[in-house]
Amino acid sequence: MNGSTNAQVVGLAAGFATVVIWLTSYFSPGLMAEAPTGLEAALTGIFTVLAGVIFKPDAGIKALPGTGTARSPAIIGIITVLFVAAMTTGCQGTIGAYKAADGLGETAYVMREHFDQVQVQIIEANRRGEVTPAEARTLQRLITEAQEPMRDLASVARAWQGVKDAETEEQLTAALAAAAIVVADLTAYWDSVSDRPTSSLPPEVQRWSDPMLIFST
Amino acid sequence: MAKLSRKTLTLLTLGTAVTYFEASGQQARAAQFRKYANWVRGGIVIDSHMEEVAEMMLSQEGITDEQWEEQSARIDANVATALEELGETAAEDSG
Repeated sequence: MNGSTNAQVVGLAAGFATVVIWLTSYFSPGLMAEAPTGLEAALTGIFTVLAGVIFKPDAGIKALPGTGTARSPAIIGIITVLFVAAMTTGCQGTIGAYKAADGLGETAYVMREHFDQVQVQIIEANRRGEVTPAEARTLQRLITEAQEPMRDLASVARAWQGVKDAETEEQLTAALAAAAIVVADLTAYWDSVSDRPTSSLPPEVQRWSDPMLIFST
Repeated sequence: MAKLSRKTLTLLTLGTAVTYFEASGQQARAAQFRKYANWVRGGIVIDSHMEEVAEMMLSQEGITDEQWEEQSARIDANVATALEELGETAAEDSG
């Protein structure tokens, strides 16, 4: 196989493996429930290696433009396993965390944890020299812009938790006052980054944006 | 078991592919592939951590004040580190 054929075979194998897994899941969900994680990646690798063995260089398969990238079907299979493994298993834990989060507080905590983990990986990639100056500038801007909403997220969640946990009238009043300040900060931030001024928000939300007003009505 | 298999599979494929390119003299490709491999590995590290977060969410009701404080301190420290170090990288082509 040449490089173009390699690319085609990998694509076909990945597609074929996906269809096989999907059909098996559809007709035999019980069996697939017990299948190990990464099964699709393993199947894709096997299909690719088999295709590489079956299709010789003169097989006449014309595919994507390109030059030879890998020289054996085995390595193509391995590479495919890697990418499919990354695609099929790379986000199950993350999805699980969001699903496990119950309510605003826990969801906010999970979102912030996700953000933190992504930025830790950015730091490590940068230390390995894998980030170009242009990419660094973009990432810097993204992190700067995300910083404030991430802080607000925690404040809002904690304020909401305070209101929810209040057992007496005094506790509720204090929690509402704290929440109103948080919402005021949030709307001020909204104004600073958005073309839409606070006055364009619904009256109920506007009222929350002023901590003094909330107790005056 | 599934967790172990996933990690083993990914780490094996990562190492094998990079080793293959290096051994076959395709150094540029090996370097490029190592970069992609590191990104994938980074994604797996994130996912593994998020799995622990999921377990934590399932095992408790709500987030304690100590957990919020710890998370905030950690995020702030990492934001500061990221901005500083990315700033140094960003300045490389201007200096």
